[in-house]
Amino acid sequence: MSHYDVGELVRSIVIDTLDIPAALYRTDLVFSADLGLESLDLLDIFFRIECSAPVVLTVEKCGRYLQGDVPDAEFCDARGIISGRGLNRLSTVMPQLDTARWAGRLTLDRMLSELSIANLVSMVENLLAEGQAAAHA
Amino acid sequence: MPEHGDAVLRVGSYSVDAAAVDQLIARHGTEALRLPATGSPAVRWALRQATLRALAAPPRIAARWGDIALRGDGEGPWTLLFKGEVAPYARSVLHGDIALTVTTRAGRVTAHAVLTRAATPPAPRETEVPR
Repeated sequence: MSHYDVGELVRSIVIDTLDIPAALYRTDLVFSADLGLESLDLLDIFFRIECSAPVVLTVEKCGRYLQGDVPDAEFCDARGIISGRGLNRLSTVMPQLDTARWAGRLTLDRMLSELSIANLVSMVENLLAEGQAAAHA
Repeated sequence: MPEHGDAVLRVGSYSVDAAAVDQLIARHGTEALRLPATGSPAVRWALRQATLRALAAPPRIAARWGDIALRGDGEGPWTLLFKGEVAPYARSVLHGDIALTVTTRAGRVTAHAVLTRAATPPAPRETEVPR
């Protein structure tokens, strides 16, 4: 069990990075649609989290976390549309995704836009636990 | 497949505010974007991101923009060199060329990477892709 309150850490960093009023903050906010976040902002948030918690939050780790064990060639097609297997994986780390709605329609470009703050909190918690397990192994 | 010209397979586009890139580097250091110190970081960042989009790179590969080397000055032309884990992925999806263009307007850098399939049979696959 981590002694870091990841939810609070992410909250303070997101509010500060995106310069949004604290009262508007909700974990179900979706980065792109609700917060106007660009990929560079996400990088900024990652770096800030890394500076504040003992977690290595690289974009590579984020990519592996999102893709899981789905092979590169099976995650999406040549047009960048995420496959059924890829969508199933994403639904485990982005449970708000409606797989029926997005089947055959969710593109790679759109995927990150659908990431929510709750998804980011889960990812950080997961990577933090991973790091702690490795340290104790 | 026409015998003349190349067939456009996919276009990857990426747009970024140059000032935002500069701010990120100022805040987190030059290593933040894992880009070489030469040239405009916003242009080099945007070109790599557009290339990864054109390749329809899955998340694991898309996160490895540091595996893409870009030769050329700020005005282009550029040559892409795929390394590391991006190289085998690029070999598997790339059967032609990638043409790169960049425009800058009102401080915003927009890069386009156009993935084409050569009309002639491809040469033995190489990771270096001259544009």
